[in-house]
Amino acid sequence: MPIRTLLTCTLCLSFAVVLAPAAWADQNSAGRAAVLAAYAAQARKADANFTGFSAARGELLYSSRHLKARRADIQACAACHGADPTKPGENARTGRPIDPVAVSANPKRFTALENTEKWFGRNCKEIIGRDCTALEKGDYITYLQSR
Amino acid sequence: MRLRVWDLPTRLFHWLLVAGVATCAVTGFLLPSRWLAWHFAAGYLLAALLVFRLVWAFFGPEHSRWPGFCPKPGAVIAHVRAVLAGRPHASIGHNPAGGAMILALLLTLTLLVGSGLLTVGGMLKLGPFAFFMPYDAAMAVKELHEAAANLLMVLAATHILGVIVESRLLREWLIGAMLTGWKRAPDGSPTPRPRAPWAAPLAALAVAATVGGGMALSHLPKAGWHPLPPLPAYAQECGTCHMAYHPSLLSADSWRQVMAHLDTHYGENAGLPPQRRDAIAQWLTANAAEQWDTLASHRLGRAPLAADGLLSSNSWWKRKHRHLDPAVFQRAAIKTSENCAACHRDATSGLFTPQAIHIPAP
Repeated sequence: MPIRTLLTCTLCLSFAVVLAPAAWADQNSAGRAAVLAAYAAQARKADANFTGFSAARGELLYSSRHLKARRADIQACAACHGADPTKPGENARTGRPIDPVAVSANPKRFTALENTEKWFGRNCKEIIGRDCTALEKGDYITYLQSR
Repeated sequence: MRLRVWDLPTRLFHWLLVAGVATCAVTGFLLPSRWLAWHFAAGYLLAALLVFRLVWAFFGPEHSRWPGFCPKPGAVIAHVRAVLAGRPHASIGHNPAGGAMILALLLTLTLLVGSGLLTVGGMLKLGPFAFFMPYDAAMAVKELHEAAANLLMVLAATHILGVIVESRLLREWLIGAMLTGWKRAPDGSPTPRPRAPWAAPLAALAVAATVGGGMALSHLPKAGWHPLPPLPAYAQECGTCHMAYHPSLLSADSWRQVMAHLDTHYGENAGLPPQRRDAIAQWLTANAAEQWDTLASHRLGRAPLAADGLLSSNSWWKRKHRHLDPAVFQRAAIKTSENCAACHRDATSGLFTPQAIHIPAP
């Protein structure tokens, strides 16, 4: 009897250990998929010829210097998030550490639309000098999802 | 003949006192605030030494007892006259002028240690008196502390001068006597009475009780400061981009001003949904400088916000950081003069005590 209980418990526990992160991961990617779907819908509305997001365009957006940036010393996403998005970044003005922006290093990125919108809202104006389009947002996420 | 006039504890007391006073003088008069940790440590040592000396004044060996440093004024005047005439009488213990000086030094030191403890208690919310001492009173006591420190320097210099003059006139090196304990005495002088058998245990007990009592008092809740866990929304929305400044660093009015213009927040867009913004603003104003009695809340928080909104534009801030090369703030681990927590390890508590200052290396 105790041995059966023990076995059952071990089994349950292993399932929990194996499945819990999987469930979390699933929740994260589901959240991100929803965020991307929302941007895709907006992109389609803006341009009927929209065919999908591109990691390559996203990478260009991420690492380019944007001459319309508000501050001459912070002209790229990479200025704070780092040339390698899988590594932690650092606020270029205050030195405050920033968690990695690449999804592989930080699976919680882009999983909630409200939070994602907040940061695009703040940072697009700073770096590219205007609000980002839905296409740009989707490309950006698609790129960082691939990293 | 030679007599053992100063016992080992008296001599140890004397030289530890010298070390403590020297440390306090150098850190207090000469060095910038970040050295004050040594000032405080030496001050606590002096407090313990004074308690020991009080016990020794009653139960120590004959020449360490209080009659030795409470001479009659007439005797002091007579002795000073004799010194000026170049022929003082040798004394076995303290001579009358020396004894009066010891009394003056001990009283001034007691005043210094007491006023020092009251000052850090009220200004920095540190030590045994932090539980009741208000900031404003501490600022007044600080004046007294500084005056007493100047007085002590004059007394100590006079004491040293007196020792040198007496040594030359009597042809006996008195500093050596304070090192070895032995002094010359007229033949047939009686051996000085030794200390009471319970003097050492009593002194140890008194010092232990003082230290223990002091530490117990230090752990009481502080007057005008309490730990404040940051509002999670504040830590998240504001603390992600810059250090989460303690609410006591700005007045309620200044916080309202800052929170009303988040879309142009120090040259950046830090806009928040209105509900979230208001919740943070409410917490900040409810815990603003007016609610605290700390040094930073008085000197930074209650001061009007500078036109550029920077804490480092405050004149008191500038004065406190004047020793630092501006290049220090550019260091990778600091980045900006607004990054208090890079050097002040206790910045997020709002206390800003000197011993928590650690400037990161370049």
